[in-house]
Amino acid sequence: MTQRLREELLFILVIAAAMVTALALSAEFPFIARLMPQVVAISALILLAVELINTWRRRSATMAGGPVWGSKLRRTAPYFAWLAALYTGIALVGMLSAALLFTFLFAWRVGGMRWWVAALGAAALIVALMGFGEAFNLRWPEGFFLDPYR
Amino acid sequence: MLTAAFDALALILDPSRLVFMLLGVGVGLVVGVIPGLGGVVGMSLLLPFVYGMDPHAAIAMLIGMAAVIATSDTFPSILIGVPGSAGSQATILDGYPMAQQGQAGRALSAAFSASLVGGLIGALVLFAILPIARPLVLAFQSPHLFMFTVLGLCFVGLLSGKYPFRGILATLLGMMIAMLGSAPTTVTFRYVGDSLYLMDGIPLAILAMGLFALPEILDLLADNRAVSRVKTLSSGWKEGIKDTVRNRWLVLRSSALGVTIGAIPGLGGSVVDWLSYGQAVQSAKDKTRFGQGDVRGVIAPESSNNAKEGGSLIPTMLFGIPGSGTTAVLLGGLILLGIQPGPSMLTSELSITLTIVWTLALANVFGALACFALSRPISRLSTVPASKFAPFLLVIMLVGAYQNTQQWGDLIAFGVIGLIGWLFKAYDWPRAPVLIGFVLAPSIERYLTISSSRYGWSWLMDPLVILIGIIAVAVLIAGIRAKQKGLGGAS
Amino acid sequence: MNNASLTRGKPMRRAMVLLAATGLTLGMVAKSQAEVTGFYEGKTLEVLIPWAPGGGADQWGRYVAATLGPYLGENASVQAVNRPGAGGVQGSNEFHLRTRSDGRTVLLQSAGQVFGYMYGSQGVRYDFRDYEPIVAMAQGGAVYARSDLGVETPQDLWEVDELIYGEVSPQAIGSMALAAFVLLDLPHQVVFGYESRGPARLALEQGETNLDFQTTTPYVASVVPLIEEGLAVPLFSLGIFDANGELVRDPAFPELPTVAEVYEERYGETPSGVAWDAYRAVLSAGTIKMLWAKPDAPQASIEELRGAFRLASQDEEFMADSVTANGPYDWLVGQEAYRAMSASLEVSEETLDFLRTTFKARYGADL
Repeated sequence: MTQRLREELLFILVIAAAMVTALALSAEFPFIARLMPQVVAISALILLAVELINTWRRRSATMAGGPVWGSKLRRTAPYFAWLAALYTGIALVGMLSAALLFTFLFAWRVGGMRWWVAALGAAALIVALMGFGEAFNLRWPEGFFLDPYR
Repeated sequence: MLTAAFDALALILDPSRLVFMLLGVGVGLVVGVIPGLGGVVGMSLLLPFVYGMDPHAAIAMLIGMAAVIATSDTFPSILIGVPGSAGSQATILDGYPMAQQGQAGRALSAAFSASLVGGLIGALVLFAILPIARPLVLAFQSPHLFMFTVLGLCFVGLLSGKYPFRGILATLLGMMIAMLGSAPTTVTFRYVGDSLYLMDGIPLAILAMGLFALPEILDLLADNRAVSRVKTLSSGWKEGIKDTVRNRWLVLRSSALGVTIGAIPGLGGSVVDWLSYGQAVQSAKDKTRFGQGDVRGVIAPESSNNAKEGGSLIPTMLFGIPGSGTTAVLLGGLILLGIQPGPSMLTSELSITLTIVWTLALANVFGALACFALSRPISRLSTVPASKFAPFLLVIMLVGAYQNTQQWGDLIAFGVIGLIGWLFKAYDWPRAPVLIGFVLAPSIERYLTISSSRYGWSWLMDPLVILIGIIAVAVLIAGIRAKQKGLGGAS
Repeated sequence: MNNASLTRGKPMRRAMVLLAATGLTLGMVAKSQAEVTGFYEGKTLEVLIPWAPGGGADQWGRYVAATLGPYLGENASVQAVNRPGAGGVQGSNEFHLRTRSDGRTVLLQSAGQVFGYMYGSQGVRYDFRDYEPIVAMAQGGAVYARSDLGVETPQDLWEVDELIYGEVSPQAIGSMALAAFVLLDLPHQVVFGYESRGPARLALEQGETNLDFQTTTPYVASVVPLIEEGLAVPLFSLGIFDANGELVRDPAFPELPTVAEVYEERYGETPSGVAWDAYRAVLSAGTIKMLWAKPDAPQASIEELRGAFRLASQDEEFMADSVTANGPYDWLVGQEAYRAMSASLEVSEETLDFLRTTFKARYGADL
């Protein structure tokens, strides 16, 4: 059993677990509200069983793509981290400040732009966003600690 | 009616009104390009100015805005695989692969010319069927609407990629995601726990962006490359227009489909592009290229999503029933102007109605021209390495996502769905059916509940229900057979 | 309708008249006295609408935003802000918990929030009774039927075998009509699940249902033509609450009897008891749109707002526009507004129990 096959089977099981949870939670709804989720969940569970077998049968055929847990995840993980940092930044200092910092740092460190180009780009984005915010009456998430644009 | 039509044209070509239409078109182009922003945001921006304006100018502005969104939202769909608004989701399936092959210019040009023709046909059909639209709309009762949604589901078979079972499963998953929030016929809140955010369910824009945009950007970054795999970019201007001309029957068919689906109240505009895509695959002789950059997969949804605007105005104007979020706000605008949509739109308010028709046609022309002009510089974006534009795009998408309900929940939902989308992409599960299931589930539940509580089982014997049922089965079988013949891995 | 097309013909003149009228009233303001504090001069008042753009509540709020400015003083502006979510609960909670009490924001209340508040829905943190009432408008509606049903007067309804009424959900605005049917003890069948009142009306036109209710504006625009064509028959209005909280005939349908009159004709006595209280509670919850200020907002701002609406409703031009946009309804200011709302704000536990058990028994619905 290859790594990829193990992962694919696990993925199917995770979806099945979600469906079982949905099914269990629906028990407390009134009849008319639970009919649809139950039909969907039960048919999904049946098909998931079929797909589990299908995937197992395909094990000998060439699986598209290599395992995800491993090199692919290693390559993607830094960017997940950047994203998480952006989210944390938004929660702490608000959307605009966090966006300014994030775009500058990312474009400079990862994008390989010269620092002043990155700074210029980040500043331009923030100015554009503020302009849009004014014109379209948009709102930003507010920061927990400080948010000069609140 | 023809004289009245030309009177209305003279009214609208008055420079003082034309300016407002162009203003509307400008706003529409901008909100269309930005992922996550759509017609509702544009409408709410323009609405405060409407009160006290000349009604013809105000309507030209509002309709001008709504008409071009479906044109400009194609940019992000083709260039970065992110739907610019709900109407261009299906464009991604073939438009984005074309951009990856360096054919962004051709895809855009085909899309805009198809949009233009579709929009014009939409306006024309709107004009032509106005007098007979009322009986037409009244012909479809809840059981028929239920069957239409079932027909929509059957097209999923064509979009499922390599593994048909996964396509159906993805549809079911999308339907399950749609169950979040309040049930359509009772006051039950499903799967929301204590979260106020989830009570309204996940917004469609967030689901679409999360499923398609975030995984794409992450993978581009991880592979450290640009969207286009080839360095040289063929401009493809003329080719794109030629593609549209070559597929004129497809354009015509898709536009007709767009108007019809748009005109049926209760189905909603967000299914139009999927149905149209399915219809294009269904009718094509050589299906192998779909999903890998077949220009027909761009032309079909793009011509239908512009045509749909004309159709969706029929229930809005004649019945006062909005077919989408955009038309709901438009309805509010009309009432602020002292216009009550209803049967009077064909009698005492006819000049307003005709203004709407003309605006649709003119705005589509202006919008398409503007997009053509912009397409060459913007299509260069597809050769820029992802690491250079990703941070800007991410921030813009988060801002766009946040505007859906302006709660933190929007950002969290975007992130979580993005992760799910990434896993789907990594493990070869098709993502398009998730959206289709999500869009159709509420209608299925609603119309099934109404049909069975109103008619018991007798609605199953209705001739129109049986007819649509037969078509649905035919589509399903054709989908399975196409798969056996080796349909390209769509999405 | 006629009104609308008349004003439209000459937008410039209308604007001039509006300007002139505004100037006049402002002149009057300057002369008249203590009521005007000038609190909003040069400031912006936000009308917080806890609903998405589009829909009745949003339209009413935007109407206020578009027209109130001149009555608040020079350079005062009014802006509509949408904070949708969770059936109005999200925006109302935000008003309750986070909006500053500086008098710069008022909350718009409409049916959805009140039903949630009345039935104690999930997540409700606000209590309208804590707030300062600014202005309210009760907008009524009427019940009508397909003409092929063979009914001509409300009393004929009891002769019909199968009355089928289309509704959104048991807590939607049409539950006013349901409460009326309960009060009248009228046998009927309800089909739930329509997306909103509009599609429910369409269902009647298609023949899927045969009994329907519409609020005034869509009734005038879409049902009156049906009646003129002979496809529909008007039956009775729900009635509206006046400034004293009494149920009176709806000025939009002066010729239609109210539910109370239909009851009297059928049962020979005026309605009373718990079913009547329940109807009144549901009716005031469903018909009234209202603006509330925070209780600790500066007194001057509250006075100023109430004064502005009093001033506006004396202005003929303002009222003419208001009739076109909102129907022939009065702007009830301050305590009048509260009294009109009191039937649902001060609803008794007994009445709520009655509503819950009746809706459960009749429709299998949990409120």
